[in-house]
Amino acid sequence: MSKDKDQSQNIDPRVHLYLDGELSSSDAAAFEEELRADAVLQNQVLVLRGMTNWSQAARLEAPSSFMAQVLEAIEVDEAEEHDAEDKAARVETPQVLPLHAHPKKSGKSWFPLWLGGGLAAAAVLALVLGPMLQDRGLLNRVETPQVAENSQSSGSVASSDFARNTIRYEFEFHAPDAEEVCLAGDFNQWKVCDAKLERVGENLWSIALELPRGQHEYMFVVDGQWKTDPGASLHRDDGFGNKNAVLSL
Amino acid sequence: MSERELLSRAQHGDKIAYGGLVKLHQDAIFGLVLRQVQDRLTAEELTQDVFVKAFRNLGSFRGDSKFSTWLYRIAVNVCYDYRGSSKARFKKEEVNIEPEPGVFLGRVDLGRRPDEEIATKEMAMAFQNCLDRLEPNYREAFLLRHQQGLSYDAIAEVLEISRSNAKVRVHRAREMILETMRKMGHDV
Repeated sequence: MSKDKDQSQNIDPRVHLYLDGELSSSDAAAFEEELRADAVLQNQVLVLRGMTNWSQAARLEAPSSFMAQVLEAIEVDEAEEHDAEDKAARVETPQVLPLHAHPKKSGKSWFPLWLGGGLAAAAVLALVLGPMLQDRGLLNRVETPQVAENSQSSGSVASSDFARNTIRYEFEFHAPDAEEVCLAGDFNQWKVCDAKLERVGENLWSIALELPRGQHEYMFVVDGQWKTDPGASLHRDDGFGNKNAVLSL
Repeated sequence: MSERELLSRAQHGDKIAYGGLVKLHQDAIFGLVLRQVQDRLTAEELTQDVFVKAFRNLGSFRGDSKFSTWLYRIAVNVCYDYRGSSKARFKKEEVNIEPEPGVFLGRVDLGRRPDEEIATKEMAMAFQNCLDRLEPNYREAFLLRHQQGLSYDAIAEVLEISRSNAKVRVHRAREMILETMRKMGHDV
């Protein structure tokens, strides 16, 4: 039996109807007449009405400075988020991601950390020392990784674009019976079908997007229904009962 | 500027416009939260969380429901998370339960005698007691209905339950309140 099942009958059902304004005017008048003659019934209505009025009491107003406090808290929240992104960007190494790296499987895990760290150090050294060495004829030029021209169709690699600080990332979602699967996130202002996935297998849908480095939240929209990526390594409450997947690039 | 315009601007990052939205809804959300957590400072913090969270997720507000309904849902979730936190377990309830003048008796007020001021104060304390004793599910349904004046359809949307369940929760809350009043010796 549902926990919410209305079990108690120790209140006249007309009290509920009366309080909800669901009695006709003639029935309400008759009920009020009855209230005058029945002290218990009258008390029931008085208590419930009184409680309503009490719960609405004027002093439940937020402080006058509340709006300013909220805006300040938003600034702090944003600053913290930017700090976290900056920190992540500093820790992250320049990298080339496999095109089919699924966000939930962490597309970076294939890349040994020690090697990444070494490359990062090498990249920094190259940037600093490169011009010097070039000047002295000791080095021709410092190459940056090239983005595959048609990486989506070639199925080989996607890449970081250091100049623009972006990473090409492929999202995948299993939706066997879907007609349409889209990706919505903060990177496309949560437009419902701005980014449509292509069916790449019997059950698998995919899309590759070039995204700015940092943290992104997203959800899939499967035939108009919002779906959380169940395998994402991190989820964040979207504030109204659903979970956004969180992707860190 | 209308709420729709404020919302549209806020969704494009205009914080001043968002401030306008905060102003419009802060008292309703604060009242709902305060009556649930019974502590003014905590309520301020949690209400602030509601609006920060709402701003962070503003892009995902799709306009399927009213903005206020969306905010109520966030508030309910924030209170839910708070109840599960260790902070809530150690928080001393310290709400001030002075009565509001003229608050108690409603439409069927039969007139107040001088000694009723004390009785009203007692009633305010009794109401507080009743609200405290309600299970959170029933308390939030009761508050959404009677404090916020939401329809059963809107309550259902906020709590993500059926309309009939919303109605049952409110009815059950009323029953529980009267039961508590009886236990306190009131003839109801």
